[in-house]
Amino acid sequence: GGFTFPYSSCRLPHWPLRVSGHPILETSAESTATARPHLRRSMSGGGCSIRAIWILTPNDAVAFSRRFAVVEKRWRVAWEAEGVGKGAEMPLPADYEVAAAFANRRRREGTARGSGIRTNLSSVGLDSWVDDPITRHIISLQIDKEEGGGFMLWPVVLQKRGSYYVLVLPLVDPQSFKAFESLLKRPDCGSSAKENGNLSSILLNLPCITGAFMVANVIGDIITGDVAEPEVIVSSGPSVGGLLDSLTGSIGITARSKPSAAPVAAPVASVSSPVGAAQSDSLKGGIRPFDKELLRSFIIGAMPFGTPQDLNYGNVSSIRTTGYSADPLPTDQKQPAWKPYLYKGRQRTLFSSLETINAALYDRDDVPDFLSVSGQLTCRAELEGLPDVSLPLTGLKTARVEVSSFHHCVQASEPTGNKQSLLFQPPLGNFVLMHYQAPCNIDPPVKGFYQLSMVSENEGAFLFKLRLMEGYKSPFLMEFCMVTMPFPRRRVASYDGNPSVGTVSMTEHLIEWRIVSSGRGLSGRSIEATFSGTVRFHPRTTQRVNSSFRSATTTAFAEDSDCEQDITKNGANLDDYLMEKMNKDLQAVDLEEPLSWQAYNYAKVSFKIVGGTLSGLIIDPRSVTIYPSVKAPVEYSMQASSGDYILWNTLGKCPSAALPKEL
Amino acid sequence: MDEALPGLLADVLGHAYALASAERSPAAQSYILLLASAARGAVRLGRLGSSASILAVSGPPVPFSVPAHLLSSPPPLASAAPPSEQNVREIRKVLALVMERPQVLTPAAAMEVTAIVAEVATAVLEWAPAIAAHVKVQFSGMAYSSSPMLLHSVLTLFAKFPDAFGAEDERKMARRLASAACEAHRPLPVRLLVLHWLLGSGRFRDSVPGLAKWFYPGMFDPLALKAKKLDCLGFVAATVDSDKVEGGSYGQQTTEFIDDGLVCVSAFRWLPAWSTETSVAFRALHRVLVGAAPHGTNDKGCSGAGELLNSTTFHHFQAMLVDMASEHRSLVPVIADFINRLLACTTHRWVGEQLLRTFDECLLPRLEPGYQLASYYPLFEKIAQNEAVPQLRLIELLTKQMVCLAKKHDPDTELKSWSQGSKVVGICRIMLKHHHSSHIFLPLTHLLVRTIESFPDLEIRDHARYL
Repeated sequence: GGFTFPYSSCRLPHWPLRVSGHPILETSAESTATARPHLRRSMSGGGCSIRAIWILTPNDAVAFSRRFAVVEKRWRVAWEAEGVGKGAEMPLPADYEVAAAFANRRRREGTARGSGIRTNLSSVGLDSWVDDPITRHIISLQIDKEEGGGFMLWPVVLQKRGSYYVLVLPLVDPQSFKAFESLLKRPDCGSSAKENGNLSSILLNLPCITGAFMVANVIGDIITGDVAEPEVIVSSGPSVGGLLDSLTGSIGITARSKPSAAPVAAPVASVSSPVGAAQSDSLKGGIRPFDKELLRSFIIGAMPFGTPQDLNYGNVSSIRTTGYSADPLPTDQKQPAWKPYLYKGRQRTLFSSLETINAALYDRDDVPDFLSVSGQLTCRAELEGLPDVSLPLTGLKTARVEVSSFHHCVQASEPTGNKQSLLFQPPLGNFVLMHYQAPCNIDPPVKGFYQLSMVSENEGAFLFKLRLMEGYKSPFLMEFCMVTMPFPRRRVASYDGNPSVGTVSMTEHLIEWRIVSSGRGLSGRSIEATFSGTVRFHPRTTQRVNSSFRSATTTAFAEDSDCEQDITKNGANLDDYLMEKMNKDLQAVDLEEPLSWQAYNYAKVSFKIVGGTLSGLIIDPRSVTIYPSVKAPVEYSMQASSGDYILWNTLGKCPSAALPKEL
Repeated sequence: MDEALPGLLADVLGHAYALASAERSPAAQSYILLLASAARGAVRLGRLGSSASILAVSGPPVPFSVPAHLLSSPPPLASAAPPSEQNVREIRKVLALVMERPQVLTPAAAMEVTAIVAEVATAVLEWAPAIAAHVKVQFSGMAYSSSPMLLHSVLTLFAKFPDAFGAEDERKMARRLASAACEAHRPLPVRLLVLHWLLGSGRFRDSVPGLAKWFYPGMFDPLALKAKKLDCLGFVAATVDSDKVEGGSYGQQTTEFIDDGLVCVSAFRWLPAWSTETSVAFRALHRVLVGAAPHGTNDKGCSGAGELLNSTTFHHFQAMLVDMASEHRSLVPVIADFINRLLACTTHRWVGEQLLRTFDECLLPRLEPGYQLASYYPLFEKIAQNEAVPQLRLIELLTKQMVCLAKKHDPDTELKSWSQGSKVVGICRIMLKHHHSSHIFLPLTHLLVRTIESFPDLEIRDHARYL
């Protein structure tokens, strides 16, 4: 990218600590200054190049590493411009040094990611000293040299995937590096965004960090095998496959159907997600070895000499195996880099609206329910040549669409009132044309309440009263619906009670109520489902678990036992008393979690609905136009499924969030 | 090779141009990148200033012909001559080709191209100011992309071509960033990054207060995002509060922002003090304070100290902390740590002291002697350590506590009263060490005498500790 020019005769004065010298902030003043072209060259400016990539195992061993000599040379040259020998003092460390530095960081910060917030354990020079959650994702490593004279490696973009840690080190300009270094060493109580040299302005100035995130992301996908394309549903038959199918299809092989375990049809996996979140990382993936050769060849294709050019796994791997298409282009245009082949065969276009609804239902007068829909419009355009597809969107205002963003092939018009038109040259395979956020514009698909009250320390009485699909007419169809009561900190011994509809099962830590099961969908009518009963738990055994925040403060709270009160004597609520007692062992959750799930009693609802959208945003397949014009059918399907759809125990504590007032 | 040996292709820019304009296969992107990189090399070498055309070619490109400038050591100085008219035209031609259709590029390549375009265009902007508008037209649509790389690239252009993007563009862009953080499909680090970008640029800061509604943390936002959104709300509160001093009419809005924001982590009041919610809540409080009175550039001054003291925010803060401390004893150590953090900072020491004075005035009168008072000892120690805080109320409370302990003292509670009593004595010791005024001498003597009377063996055991 626009990096310090190696043989510039004129350099910016040394920068440290003075924001007046901050490249990105000062441009406005500078651009009007007299033109000494090379003055501006010293700005970091943009672009993304990667110095090195490491993949570490949970045991702090390096499983994979890749360095880019060309980028390293630019790093050295940039530092030489700063002063003699500086570049040589900070060479890329050896694998074992990185592993040791990472292990050392884990020791100093408490966890591999660090706390991200300044605690009692933080001290000058640690990432958590900076007191920003992003330092869990952009970390610094202290490389110790045996002969003395260690140095800092920054910014290392960290991503945990499966049980591996992916570390990506982009090239940054010396000024930004020094700015961060001085931030780490500031002795004060922590800076605000209003101060000079703050973390935000450093990050704004470094697009390479953003690029490194995307690199880490795709590498994570590859090592966990999570490289499937976004889903596109065909109303008749199974979901359709991705880019490879487009290729095989074009040479006469019929499209494979996807394995039946499509992401949306995995209620079991999604149920467990909010429960015991701290463990979720270790459940995913395991220490499965990954294909290093595959990764190596991807890196060569995706980021030749360290500069990312195409981070789409499907594209890069198909170009690598099959090369570019040799077809003559129908028109005089340039073939996009993200469309290495042209489709050949029966022509059609598929669109799918896939929505996920998050809900917090309270059934309380003082707390309003919260519902929000996050949707995507996916597309698969099996069209020959390089046609332009135009798709007018209507009803944006009616659906109260709050935010939308588009695939990079899309040119979107400025939205006017209810309308916006999208023009795009579709890539091969399935892609997400558009993402959007909207409120739920019809009644929630599952309404009602959940109550749980402890009648003794090991026994609770519960009651569900739910109404499903009220106000939903055909073609809306609820394919399945399941309610789970998780008890991550108790072991369920047994339960009593029969639901008015559906079946119930239990495992060690949860009770599961299947109201509508797959294959027996609910359409054209609404049902009421009630379930009351009791649940009995095994007596509790106390377990104490350490966490990054806990260890910082445990000593300070030892005192409290001195003045514990006997709440039960005062006739206070038994539920509150038990909860408070249990919370003494509560583990601090990771910053990636929305809340301390385990501190609450709730039921989680999982469902899938087809035949419509909850936001009300739909497209009209007849309004899709293709240029040059072809006769190709346009198919459209809709599906909504639950994300975090929570019924908070009406009788217990519940989390909430304030809604903005109209300002 | 051009990356490794910058300027390698500067002399054959004409060939690179021909190749890039002729290529129609998917490899066209690579040729565009090559042309862009070669053009940047030419600009950096000062070729625009020469009278020769930068696109002129002499014969076919010859493999392995190394340009002279790469061989000379030290490298030649770049010419600072203004670009020739012809070369301004030619570089515009190159830029026009490079920027022709950003949609055909992958996001990664588009990031590289925008970086180069920004550098090259900036170099000739003075002679061809229209380029800035062209750049804006071609690239600003990327702001609405799902790809964070494209979004960040547009921001780079904002910084490089300030005149091309007006106040309205700034407002739109700021709104775009604030709303992008609310898009659930984006990975968490990206959602955090966009808020950093928003706060990181001086150009968007004026728009931030108007975006408050986007910063309300969502129920299911990860705690990291809640923390960052609270930063933004704190920023809004601080900005609005300082405006108010100048005659605005925001009234209670600032404190509403803080209260509303904290609802999403309100469980910190009853969750154990080590919970993540607690950390996020107290971090937010700290940010609001520091946002209102930032650290000075020279490690000494603190801008906005006076304003902060008189601000609604600060009064609200004091009341909030006092309520928290009196209603949720388990939060006392957290509050003590919070104050400690301020006391340890040269710039904000006075804020910490002010808060201690507030506790002295407003919290101590609310507290009753008894075993539960022990929860407050961490805070009492902070008060005792501080010369800027009056001690009489504390001594009075501790005296009452001693009386209470002595009253309850019997064989059953012996250990408890001993443990608590000696902690009180410990606080007295801290007080003696830090206060040399005769002011506290009499009441303290009174307290100690009472203590010795109630616990006759104290003097022998603890004599050494006072010295």
